[in-house]
Amino acid sequence: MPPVEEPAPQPVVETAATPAGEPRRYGPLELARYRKDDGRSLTLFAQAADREPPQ
Amino acid sequence: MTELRFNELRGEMVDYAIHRQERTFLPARDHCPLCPTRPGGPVTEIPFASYEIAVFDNRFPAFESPRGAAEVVVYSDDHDASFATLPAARAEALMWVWRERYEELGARPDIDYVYIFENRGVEVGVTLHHPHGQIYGYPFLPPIPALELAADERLGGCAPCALLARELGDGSRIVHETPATVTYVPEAARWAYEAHVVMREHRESLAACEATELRSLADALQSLARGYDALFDRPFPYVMAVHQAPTAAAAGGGHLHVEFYPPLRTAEKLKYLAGSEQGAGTFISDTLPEESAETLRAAIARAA
Repeated sequence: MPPVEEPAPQPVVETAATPAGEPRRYGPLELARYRKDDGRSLTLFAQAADREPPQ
Repeated sequence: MTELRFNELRGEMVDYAIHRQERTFLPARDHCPLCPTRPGGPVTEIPFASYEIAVFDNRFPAFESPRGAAEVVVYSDDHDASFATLPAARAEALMWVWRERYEELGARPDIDYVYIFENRGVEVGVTLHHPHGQIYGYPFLPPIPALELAADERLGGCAPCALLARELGDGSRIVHETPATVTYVPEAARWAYEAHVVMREHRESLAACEATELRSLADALQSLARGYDALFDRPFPYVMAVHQAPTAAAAGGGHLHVEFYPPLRTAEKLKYLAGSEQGAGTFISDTLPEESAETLRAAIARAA
């Protein structure tokens, strides 16, 4: 039986938002700001790698 | 475009945002605009394959610059999560996100009041099931925070501080405590299972809180939300309203607390705002706060 060829992963569309400024730190978070194509803002917040672990 | 009009008889502003009539309404799961953009899938509001917490300008804003703001806060890229089920670290991170947005929006001269809230459940008008909240930046001081400032005047100091001391002295309506918060059904609750999560210390806003207090606040909010879900063994609808100091220059006042307004009075019965509530402004309640507190306290303990 021939091997099943895995479909190549399709690229995620990430062109609908462009970076707006450098990522920055806020408390235990890292913020990355983007501007969407229609002008609206988008901010992604992620827990910083070196944040204090939860107790 | 939005338009504000002043209702003279009520002494309050009414916001007309007629474009919201067209907003996305309970879309099919595979068309959720708050899910991440999956490979091969439709581009959503968040064009990334994964994320932790996302905040963006509402596509159908009730308020917009230069006269206010309307933002969406997405708690997770997991469509089936809820505030109650977030990992503790994510809930704590959300407190910091709220704080950052309060500070940034509050610094804008066109915003007098930053209101963070969550509508959960179709019973309170949710149009998207993906776990999220919202933030409105009001270009004026809305009536409820104005009433809280009036309560400060009436009581000769911080009203939430005075009410918290009263609740701690009585004890019968307290349902949960953490090192930094006390949760209670207020003495004159409007809703059967209304509950307020109040900072023990006088903190005007999230911006004034220590990191440990934010952690306690997240714990308290999740404990209550889980208790609500355990109450009738079903996802429990609510409005979660974060009350903080107005950001208008010289407004003063404010004591961070989070009020929950759940519309259920039993597992199947909703409390409707009808004749007395709408026409006279007086809530008629079918339950006593002390009895609700006892039930809710047990539900929170069961869910812990």
